[in-house]
Amino acid sequence: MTVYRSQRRIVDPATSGSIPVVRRRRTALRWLLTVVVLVLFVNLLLVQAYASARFAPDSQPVPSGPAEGVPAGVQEGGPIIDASGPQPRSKNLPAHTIALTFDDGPDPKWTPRILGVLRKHGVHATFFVVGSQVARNPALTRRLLDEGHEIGAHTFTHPRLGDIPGWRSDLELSQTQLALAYSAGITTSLLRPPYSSSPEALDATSWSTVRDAARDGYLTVLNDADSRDWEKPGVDAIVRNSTPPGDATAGTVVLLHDAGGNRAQTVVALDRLIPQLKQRGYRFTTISEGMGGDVRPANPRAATAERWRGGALVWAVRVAGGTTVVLLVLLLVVGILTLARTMLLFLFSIRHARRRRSHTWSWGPPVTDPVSVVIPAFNESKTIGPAVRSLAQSAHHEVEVVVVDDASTDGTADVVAALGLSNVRVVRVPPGGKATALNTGAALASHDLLVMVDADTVVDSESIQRLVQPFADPTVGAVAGNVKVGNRRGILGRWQHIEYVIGFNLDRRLYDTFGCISTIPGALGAFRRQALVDAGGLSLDTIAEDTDLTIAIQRAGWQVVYEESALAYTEAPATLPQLWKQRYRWSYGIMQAIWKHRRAVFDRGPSGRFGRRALPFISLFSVLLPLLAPLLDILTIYGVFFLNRWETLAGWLAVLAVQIVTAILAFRLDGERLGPLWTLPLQQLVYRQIMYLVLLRSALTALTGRRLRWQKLRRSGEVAVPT
Amino acid sequence: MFELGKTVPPVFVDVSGRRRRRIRWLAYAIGFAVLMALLVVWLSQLVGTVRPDPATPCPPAASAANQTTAPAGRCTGR
Repeated sequence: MTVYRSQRRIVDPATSGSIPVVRRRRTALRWLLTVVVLVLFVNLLLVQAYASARFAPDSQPVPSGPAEGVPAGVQEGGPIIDASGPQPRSKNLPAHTIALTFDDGPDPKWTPRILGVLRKHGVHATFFVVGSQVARNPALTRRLLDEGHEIGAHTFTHPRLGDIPGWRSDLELSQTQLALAYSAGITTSLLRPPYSSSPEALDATSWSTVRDAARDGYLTVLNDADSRDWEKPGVDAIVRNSTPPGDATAGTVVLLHDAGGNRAQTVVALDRLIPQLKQRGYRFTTISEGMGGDVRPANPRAATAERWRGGALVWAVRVAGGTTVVLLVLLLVVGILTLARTMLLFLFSIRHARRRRSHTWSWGPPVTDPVSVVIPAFNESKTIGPAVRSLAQSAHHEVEVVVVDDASTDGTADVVAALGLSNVRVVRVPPGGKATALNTGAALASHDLLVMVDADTVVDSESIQRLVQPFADPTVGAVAGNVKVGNRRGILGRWQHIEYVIGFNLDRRLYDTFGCISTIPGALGAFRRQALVDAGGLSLDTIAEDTDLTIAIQRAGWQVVYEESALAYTEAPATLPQLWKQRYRWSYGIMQAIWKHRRAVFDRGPSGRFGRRALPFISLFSVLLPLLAPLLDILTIYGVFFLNRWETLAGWLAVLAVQIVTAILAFRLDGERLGPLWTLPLQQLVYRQIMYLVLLRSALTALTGRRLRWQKLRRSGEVAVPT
Repeated sequence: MFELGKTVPPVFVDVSGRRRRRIRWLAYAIGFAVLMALLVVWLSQLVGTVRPDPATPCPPAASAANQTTAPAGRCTGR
């Protein structure tokens, strides 16, 4: 797992890396772009949250407060209130007229049905629309007007106007007007405050709402008869509630709803109510028509500026809505894929473990052929000693160790020489990078079974012998070992330990079952010389030479298997910046390797078979799925603030539970103690985010074609084989 | 055993830097457009409250035909 850089200095013609001022400016611009993207996201989610504010059903009983301040006569007066003058005027519709009013729409499902009934009976009504619904259904709003109905405002998001500050209620009303201006080309002078009822129910708070609205030019329209259709009381009850009393001396404003839930009862009730009342001699009218010249026109044409401003609003709501839908669909896809993957993991890793543990399992006759171990090393004097000694003392009966010193400057070669081991050779090569060092070592090694080990990795005495046993099967070209984190102190060490156990044990068992192992870890892997030759050796055009080589070997028709009993302990990065660099390199490298071998999908023979089987699998689960991981965090935050908080947290905890169960399985299969798993919940809050940010960064680097430079890890040399 | 010292251009790396320049300008352009769009939307909502105009009293329907003081467009009902 070493992050290896030779001395060779890469001069990158594609960057202005040597001009600090230019670099600083570009970094600043990159941050600015990131901020812009974040601001856009936050804005879209805020707009979406605002425009889809959940509201309680209309007319839900509101306890009336003290009626102080409500002018005399208003509570006993009519439902149409003009409070603009010093003396409020309450008005009634003329006798024998009915104004049907519908709140909370337009609704794409129910409004058209109600319009159908109204048209059938040749009746016009008044629709008190919710602005956010107008923004979502502009064509339907236009249709209301085209069919001769009248439109009033019912605010933008249906808040209780008395409970919100003045600037917000101004915005609620203003935005409703803008949405109407864009959708239907009109504004409205009618207002029905949400949660309002009949004039008798007016209290001090709701009266101040009426007065404020009047100051802005609105005529407030309450109701005489509440159908209570929001309670879904049955068609009979709705008809009964909407029918004016026989002795009514004035007209009646009837409150109904065309949105906010299932309105089937309302539709049926209307179809019965209208003919009944017509038969009794009632005339149906809209509010302003019923009032004749007594009120200003309800729907004057909107000014051009208002239409433009409305356009901006409607499109903002639309884009925000679309974005949310896309995010939710993606989350669903991610959820399904993750679940499918988890189930596959459980099914196949348990089966894999059972097969390997059974008494009848064997790769074939014991492999006792001599083995050459190649260790590439650049400035590894701290760690190379224990690493080489652990390898040279392997239980396998003939092991040769070749240390390729890639022009180290810290005396790495001397440290090895000082060990005085007879089966260890040091080869000094000119600076050339890890892949070249490995190729050189393989070429100079004496035996046909090659094991490649990182210089920071310690193996136990059985590892080499176990690692080469799969070569008993002549179709096996390479073997991946089981790499573990050697330095598990500190939270970062524990997190990586968890990740290694899950990623190496569980995932690799699954990949092994399907014959599509993507990476033989550089820390511990074994190769047949012929397989290396067939693959063309380690290549220099990707920085994940281990992944590249693994894919190339399989394309050449060799099998790559996983031997979980061959253990190696590697030194994992101990600080976040080092971890970042390591993962940046890995994720970028894996993208490079997939891209490099993409044409394998179309190949014939073993290459095509591997390409079609493994490349989609690797791309999906190693690149695409992790790239979508931020969705979980974004939507969790959104859900906690704007949706049902407890449901969201429950969902998040369910995801965590699945991960904990997976982790426990992985730890059990690997014979690890469960202790470090207590850090798993914390891992969700830091580590996971770093992992996907790194992936995002790598994807961007790949896209822009910038050359990646990477640095050497700082070594502490604290890894030892646990006893 | 293998060809050593063979130089292959690394995968993804665009040595000319043209791709990177293009993407950068595209990103700046999109970023700028997004900022402008956000600005326009916010301004359009906050620039002033739209309210029904109480200053244009409309005449009773019966005498509307004889009145010329009220702006016609605002009193036609549509």
